[in-house]
Amino acid sequence: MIEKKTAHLAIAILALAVTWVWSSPSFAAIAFTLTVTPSSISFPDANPSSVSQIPASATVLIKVRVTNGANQNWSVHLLANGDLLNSDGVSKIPIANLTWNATMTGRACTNGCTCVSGTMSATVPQDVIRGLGNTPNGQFNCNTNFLLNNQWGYNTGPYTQTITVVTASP
Amino acid sequence: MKNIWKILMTITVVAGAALILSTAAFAASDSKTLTINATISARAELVLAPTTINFADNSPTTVSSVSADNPVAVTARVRTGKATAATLTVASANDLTSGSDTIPISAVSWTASGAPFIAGTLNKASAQSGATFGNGSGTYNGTYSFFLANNWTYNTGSYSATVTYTLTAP
Repeated sequence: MIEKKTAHLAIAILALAVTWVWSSPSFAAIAFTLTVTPSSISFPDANPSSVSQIPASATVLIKVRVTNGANQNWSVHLLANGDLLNSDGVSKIPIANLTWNATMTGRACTNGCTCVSGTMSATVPQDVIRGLGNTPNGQFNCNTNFLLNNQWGYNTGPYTQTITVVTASP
Repeated sequence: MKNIWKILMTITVVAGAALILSTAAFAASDSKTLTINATISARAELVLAPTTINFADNSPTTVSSVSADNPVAVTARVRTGKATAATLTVASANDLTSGSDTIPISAVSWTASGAPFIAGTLNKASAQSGATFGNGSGTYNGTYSFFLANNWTYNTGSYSATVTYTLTAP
């Protein structure tokens, strides 16, 4: 008799577990695969009197693959982890002096994917790609050309900072 | 009955494990890090306008100090380190000359407006300072106004001299 009740209890737990697995939002959640190449870019020194914006050493290719994204808006955004910091530990170049121009490359996205140009921020994530639903051709690619505003007021030295490239869906 | 119970419990455990694994396999976002590097090197740029000034003839009795026909606008653009300062020197290798006649170059002096530019007197023996810069980079605008000490002893003629301004960013 006890064994029978135990069996019923086990069946109930099993049913609950199976229902949870298949109805769980996490199971069907929109999924992203993000690729950023190269992972590092540099800006060479240039005369501010003749070069007002310095192009980065390389174009950054951002690829995103979206699955399970039916009818969901999604984006890829950039968020700086601070201003560009000089090795002297004090001097900074405000990160808002870093801008980018993003253009689509490769196969077009048929459901509203766009590459978005913008200005870097350390406080508000800035979209670089926007889309809706799955990427129909496997992935969506944006060539991102970064530019650094060149000013006489920058102190000499090497500067560095990291940018987080992250996918998001509401 | 014991076997059935064991089987059901095993299935329950497997279902639970599947739930955990499925959640892990469908990450809702992806992120990458992009590193930004920039190099800022020392450089200096000096602009003087006009690059030629003239002193008109005047009676030494009534005009002891002759003003130049125009003030000289000066712009100094400097890139240097946070803890280093630029320098601006004024060198005059020769006196004012007219054939074999001379007027000592020390008869020419100037006043300055706009920080960090400073007043001074030309000196053939040693370069003079034209500004007192603080540490760090920046753009500075000012004006030099030149004067020639007038003296009855000057022989008649058309005199000239060249003065060299050197802006240095360490």
